[in-house]
Formats: sequence, C-alpha cells, structure tokens
Amino acid sequence: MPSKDLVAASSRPLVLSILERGESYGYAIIQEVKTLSGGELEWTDGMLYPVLHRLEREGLIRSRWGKSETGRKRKYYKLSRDGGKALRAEKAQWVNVHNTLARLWGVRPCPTT
Amino acid sequence: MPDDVNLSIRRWRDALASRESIGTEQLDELQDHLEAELRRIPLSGISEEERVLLAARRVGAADTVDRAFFEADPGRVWRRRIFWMILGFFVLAEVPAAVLSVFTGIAALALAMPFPRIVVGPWIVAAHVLVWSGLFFVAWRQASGHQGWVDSMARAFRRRLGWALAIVVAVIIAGPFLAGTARFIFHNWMPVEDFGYLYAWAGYSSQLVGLVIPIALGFIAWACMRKTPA
Repeated sequence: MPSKDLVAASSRPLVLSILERGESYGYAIIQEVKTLSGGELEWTDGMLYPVLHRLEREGLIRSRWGKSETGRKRKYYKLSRDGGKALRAEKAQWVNVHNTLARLWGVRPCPTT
Repeated sequence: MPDDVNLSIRRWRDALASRESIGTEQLDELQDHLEAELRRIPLSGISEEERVLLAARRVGAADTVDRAFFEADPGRVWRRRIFWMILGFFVLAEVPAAVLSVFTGIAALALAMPFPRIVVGPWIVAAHVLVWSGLFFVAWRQASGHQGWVDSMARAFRRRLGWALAIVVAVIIAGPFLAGTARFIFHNWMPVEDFGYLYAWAGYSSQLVGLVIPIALGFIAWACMRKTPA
C-alpha cells in the first residue's frame, strides 16, 4: 500500500489522466482509481473533491452541473486545454522519477512519452 | 429512498454544513457521492442508519474533509469571513443612522419644522446605497465562489504591486479633495463649512480608515499570498 504522501502526490496526475479519457464525476473517478490500482490506492473518498476544486481553480479542469441516473444534481468534470498541457508535464516528471528508480533497481524502465 | 435514510442523510449533511470550508455546492457534491456509495452497500443484514454511517465513513470524517477543502482554497473561507465583516460594518454604521434619520424626519413633520440636513440629503443617501450595494455585490459574488474577474484582478495586483500601493496612497491623498469638491457642487443639500478641506478630510478619513483601507489592504495581502497560476 503506497504511503499517504505518495497517494496525495499522485492524485493530481491520476485525476488529470482519468479526465483525459472523457468527462466524469467524483464517484466514478474514485471507482476507476480503485479498479486500475487493484485496490492498492485507497483514498478517503471525500479528499478527492478538494483536489478537483483546486484543479478547477487552476484552470486545468472545467465543471458543469448535470443530472445523475436517478435525476439528482451531479457535478461533471472535464479536462481543459491547459489541463492537457499540465498532464503532459506531469507525465514527463513521473516517467523521469520512475526511470531513475528503475535504473537504480535494475528493473525495466518505462517507454518515454 | 426510505424516510429514515433521508433523515440520516440530512443529519450527516447538517453536521458537514456547520464546517466553515464546506459550502452548499460542496455539500451537494458530497451528498451525490454518499448516495452513490449507499447504493453499493448491500441492503441485507444491517439497518438503514448503519448503511448511511458506513457510507459516511467512506466519504471521510468531517474534520478531515473540512481541512482538505480549506487547504485546497483558503481564500474561499476568507471571502466568506469578509462578507460577514462587511455585513457587520453595515449593521453598525448604517442602521443606527437610518433609524435616527427616520425619527428626526417624523419629529420634523410633527413639529412642522424645515427638514434637517440629515433627512433631506438624497445625494448622501444615494451614495451610501451605491457604495453598500457595490460592497455587498462583490462580497456576495466572492462568498458564493464566482471569482473569475476578482482572480484576474488579484493576478494583476501581484504583477503590479507597486502600482497597486500607489493607487491606494493616491486615493487616500486625493479623496478629501474629491469629497470636498463633491460637497461644494451639491452644497444646496449639504452646505460646506468655510474650511472645506479639513472638514471634508475629517469626515472622509474616518470612513476611509474604518472601512475602505482595511478592505483594500486585506485584498492586496490576500492577492499576494494566494497561490494561483500566473
């Protein structure tokens, strides 16, 4: 299980990457992270929303209020153009860190983006 | 959804609503999450209330969520605080004056006396209404999270801090002249005493020191501290 700090640090690229695939909302984003990480990345669900709001304030994602399948209010998010740029920068940084560690540990580095 | 579930959700929502960093929009979003979580918890074995408690635990403790929202946007909490400060200023500064002027007006009518200045200054009333409406509008927009243009103003302030301070100083110095001139123009409603400048300065600076300067300096400080991308 990754440490709390690592989970917090990875929340930004994770959210941006999920929203790159298309519009989504808080609960679906969390479920996707859980599925993709095989349950290894465990967030306190409520902590995702401040991350989303911060990204929105920074202009990296945009939001709109829509309706859920039960007809209730639901807030949907999608990546903005600046968000796309920020995601590319994030990817480069994470791949860089990963490759440095991979070389030290003698494991396969990931292909560059 | 059954009534007892709705009641439990309402209780959970009220507990979160008392937190300073969590507004209505955040509550709506968290409630949507809680209800989605609730649908995934099996109906059998536990009571409805326990299901809500379980879902609420997955959303997170009120303290933790509140702190995370505060850290994500500390400015939001300050904007709400400033709104209440402005409301406080309004009640303290305007309500007693309004009550006094109404009573003076009634007394003048009853005694068939000419209206005293405090009642018949339409320009003064209009100026007060305008200033307070402006303040309330900005504060309300800020407190409810519509902050696009204020954010760009804040960025402009950060880029041109020297100019911003120069403007504040210029307003402080030029204000009495402007106030004196305005009073001279509208002297029919508000006669100017002979030593106009000092008189205007006294009246103007007391309002300025009490209200405008703290707000202006607070805004500049907030603009400097806030971490928004340039």
